[in-house]
Amino acid sequence: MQFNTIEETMKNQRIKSQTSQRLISLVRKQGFQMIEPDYFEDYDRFTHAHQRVTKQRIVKLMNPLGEVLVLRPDVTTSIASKIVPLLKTEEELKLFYYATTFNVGTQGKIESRKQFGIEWFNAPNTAEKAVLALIVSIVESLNLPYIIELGSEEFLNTLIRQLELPKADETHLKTMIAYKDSSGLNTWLKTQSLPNTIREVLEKLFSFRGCFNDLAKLIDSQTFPEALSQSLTELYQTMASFQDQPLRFDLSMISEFEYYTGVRFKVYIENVPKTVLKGGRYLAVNPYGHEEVSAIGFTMESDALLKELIKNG
Amino acid sequence: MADFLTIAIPTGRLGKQTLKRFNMAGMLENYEKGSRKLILIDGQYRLRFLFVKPVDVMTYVTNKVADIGVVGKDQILEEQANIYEIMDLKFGQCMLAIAGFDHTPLSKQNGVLSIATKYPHYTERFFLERNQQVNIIPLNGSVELAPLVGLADVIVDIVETGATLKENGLKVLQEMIPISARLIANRVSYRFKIQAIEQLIERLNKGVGVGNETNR
Repeated sequence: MQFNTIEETMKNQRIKSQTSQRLISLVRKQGFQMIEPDYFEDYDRFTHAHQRVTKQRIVKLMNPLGEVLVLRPDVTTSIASKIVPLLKTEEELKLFYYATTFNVGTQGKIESRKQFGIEWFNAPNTAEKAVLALIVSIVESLNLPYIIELGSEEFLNTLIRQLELPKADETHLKTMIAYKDSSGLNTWLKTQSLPNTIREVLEKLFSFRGCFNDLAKLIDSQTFPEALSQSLTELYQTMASFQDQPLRFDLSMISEFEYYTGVRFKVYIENVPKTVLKGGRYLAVNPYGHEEVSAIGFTMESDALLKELIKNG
Repeated sequence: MADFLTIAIPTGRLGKQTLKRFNMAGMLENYEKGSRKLILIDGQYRLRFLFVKPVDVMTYVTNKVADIGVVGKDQILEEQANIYEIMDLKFGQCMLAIAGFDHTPLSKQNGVLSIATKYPHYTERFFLERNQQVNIIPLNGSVELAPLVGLADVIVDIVETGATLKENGLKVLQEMIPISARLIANRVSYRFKIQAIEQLIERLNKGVGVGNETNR
């Protein structure tokens, strides 16, 4: 029986180190600078800002003053609270991080995950395409089969805002969408009195996905109310320059984090069981003040990805 | 095998109903009753079936060892795993409910309601959404015993006919959510094998002679 050897361990460390160096080099070339996010955040502010985050999954601590803190389950909120108050109006700032996040697993164990990501504050309108190009260059460099999926948080937010639901009902609806629970959604729709235009979109929501040509056809079919067309055009324009890549769209893409406002990205790699990259346009808010700026960013779950890279040698 | 769709089938009671549903759709017809085989291949439809304990189906799917699996809605609610719930299979129908002795109040004037259950996470969330602090007592089975011996005020459990409750002098105090068997998918498999998944859903629907139950 041969257990792990020092050679194997060091080989895995080398692959990890080479991969992180490659990722860092790619983002540095695009002008991103490194930042180290804080470990702790205020529990009440964090849970108030992210109401669909499962509270049981958050690692909570109490400091000697009796204040309840969160051991960061997400890096974006931590960086935003540090950077946003310092930014001048329209001052662009491009940052990247390589940090650990924490949550409570299903068996009650604290799980840590290494994350690599970028945050681009006061990002201009052209930033979606630039970030998507960066994502393409990152996933191409891994040499593994992938799919990049795009969605629009604004599409769903506009749709759901029109329903004027109580907060608990809105959370319930968003959870059903996040699980693609068509049966639950159809049952819920039967109990609701909704305008026909919104009902029709929700009834077919999970079928609104496919490649760039499918999106073009969907826009041409004029299935959607006027209020939703701007978010679809934005999605169309972002995808248009990447027709040679394996890009897909999914209009039911929804995040548990409430800060997203526009186009969102997700990357799937064939043999990695989880989403390896997620991000998009969001409103970076300082939870301790009132400042907010439009930003764009993504996070890579590097542990799962590294496991696959190690498997492939 | 990479182009095969791998499906985790639960053993036990839920498994029997799952097999029946797949048989009706012309799949798993070569499965021998009482067989101890853990893997079965269906070359015609390019399907690979794994036979696993019901509580392990979610683990096989979230780790992408299986692309698809069959679990109860109660397990989905409890585990909140990163899967998609792509089809209601409409069997194994029952109700997740709060049960106890008749007239047991669900809000206690002096103290915190104690609840014995196999579903501690979902129960805690259910009461938190209603702004009520509760004391959860996790149990693995014979939950009905808890109020009888004073371990808990009430229980949260799945109720099918209510016979076990009645035999023990208990009754449903509050229905929480309807439960049935669901087809779940790994979120990455859903992207890479969407056509095979859609074909499977279509076959399962045709097998029971109904229209498309999903909007995919």
